[in-house]
Amino acid sequence: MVVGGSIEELFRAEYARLVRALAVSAGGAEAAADAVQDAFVQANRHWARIGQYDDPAAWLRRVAVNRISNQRRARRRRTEALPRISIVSPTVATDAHSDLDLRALVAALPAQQRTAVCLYYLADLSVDEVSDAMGVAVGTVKSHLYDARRSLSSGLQEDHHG
Amino acid sequence: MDDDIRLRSTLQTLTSPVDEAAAWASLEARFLRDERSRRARRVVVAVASVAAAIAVTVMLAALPGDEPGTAPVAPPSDPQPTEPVVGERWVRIDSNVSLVPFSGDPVVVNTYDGLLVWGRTAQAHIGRNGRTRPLPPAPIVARDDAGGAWTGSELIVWGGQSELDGAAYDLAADQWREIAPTPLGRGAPIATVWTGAEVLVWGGLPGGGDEGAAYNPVTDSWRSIAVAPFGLSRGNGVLVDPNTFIVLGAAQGSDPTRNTSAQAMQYDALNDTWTVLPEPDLHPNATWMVWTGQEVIAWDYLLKARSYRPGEAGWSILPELPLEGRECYPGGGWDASVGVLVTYCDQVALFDVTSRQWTQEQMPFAVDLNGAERELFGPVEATEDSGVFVLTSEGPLLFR
Repeated sequence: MVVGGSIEELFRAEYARLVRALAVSAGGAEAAADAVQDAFVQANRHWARIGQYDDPAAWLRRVAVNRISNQRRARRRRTEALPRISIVSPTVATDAHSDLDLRALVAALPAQQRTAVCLYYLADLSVDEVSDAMGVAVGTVKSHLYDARRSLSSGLQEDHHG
Repeated sequence: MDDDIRLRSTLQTLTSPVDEAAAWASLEARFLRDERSRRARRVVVAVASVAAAIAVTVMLAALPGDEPGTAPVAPPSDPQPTEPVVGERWVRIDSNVSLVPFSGDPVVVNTYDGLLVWGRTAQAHIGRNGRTRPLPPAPIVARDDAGGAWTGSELIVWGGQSELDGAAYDLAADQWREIAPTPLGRGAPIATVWTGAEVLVWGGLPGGGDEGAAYNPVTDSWRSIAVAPFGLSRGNGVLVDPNTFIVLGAAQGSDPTRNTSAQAMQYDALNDTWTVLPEPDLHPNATWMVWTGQEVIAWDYLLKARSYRPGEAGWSILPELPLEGRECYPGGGWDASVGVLVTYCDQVALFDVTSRQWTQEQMPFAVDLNGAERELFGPVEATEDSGVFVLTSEGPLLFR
């Protein structure tokens, strides 16, 4: 079933950080885990070929990010009136109030900016890798990160000063 | 830089721990279920094939010797994105190939590093990186509505509205050759697929044909295949495995007011036999289907959708497409990384094979400068991992 065990190596290297990053981007750990697991199932199904790719992780990340995008659009259609923050389950924050504020700031970012921020800061991907995962140009990723940084920084400063 | 580090560390507070051991156990169970499910389907298909073979024992003696070989294997796709992005998931592949005005359909095949387009108004290789290279003149007259298939090294084009000749273009050598004359009497086939060893051409105009033939590019020769129970028009065909080919369309000469469903048939290349499949209850006027590797997903211009797994007794009903009813021929493509993409007039829908749900996708060009909608049109070709190519009047786009 698993060719040479390599997909397990891919899992060890990518699963946790991708789920952690996409959980923030998608607004829930369960949705992120579903998307990443779906991507692994697809990868396993075609592992004879995908395992030969120079960077199977890049393929995996792109499929997972696409699935998150699909989920997001489906959810938007079903619950357009539901505020994003309401589907976020609080996690291990030490300061629940500021944690939720930060979540709200992240959730308020446009979807592409949010995905770029999460992949870059939380999955520790390079700009090139984020570009591959999102299927957009490197310059677009840089632009998303720049805009997101400005929004988050100003939001956090306002929070501290307020 | 300090701000960057601070932001990274602040964002880290939002993350939750991940139980890798439980996740891997769950994933292994899913791998197993997936493998069992696919194995079960293969058994069903094999049993159905054996049953069909027994039923046509007398015909076996008359079988031709050639057998299709292995399925085509796509080389790893170039993961580099093209640009610019138009909309959330559309990427414009910059090219100077003029596709406007067009009449009929050009042949478009996916070479995995781009598209080969060959028709009356355009003959070019359009790389995914946007590099466009015109093709040298073919030894046959350029035309629309020919059949075409990519063999991994050559584009085979054959037929047309009134033509019965064909040619092969070697992408690496950048040169054409004529191919042997066909035994078929109709052009404009409704289905042309590469089996891994032969180009299978089936159906055709005028009137919707019931004949097919297979072209072997190594020996430059054709062989006829069994005549189908009836002809089809206004549909397409998909290769389910190297020996199984499914066609869907309107039955030849059918009156849509009396024959209310499109018809489907399955060709078994090992036994050179056809089987009429259950009716999908899709409107015969306009249908399209794709093969996802697991099932056929088919839909019609009235927005009904069905799925069919080879060997099963009937088609399953899927949710209707979330689009507005129009008067267009639907098209579509499949890609494992995005799902089933349906193009219909100026609208696009995406089917997620896991959740079994459709979503309407945002059009890259909702309105043009004059306020008129721009229409997407087929054919659509898909790679397994890299997105779905869509040819539009604005040029090629990639949906990913």
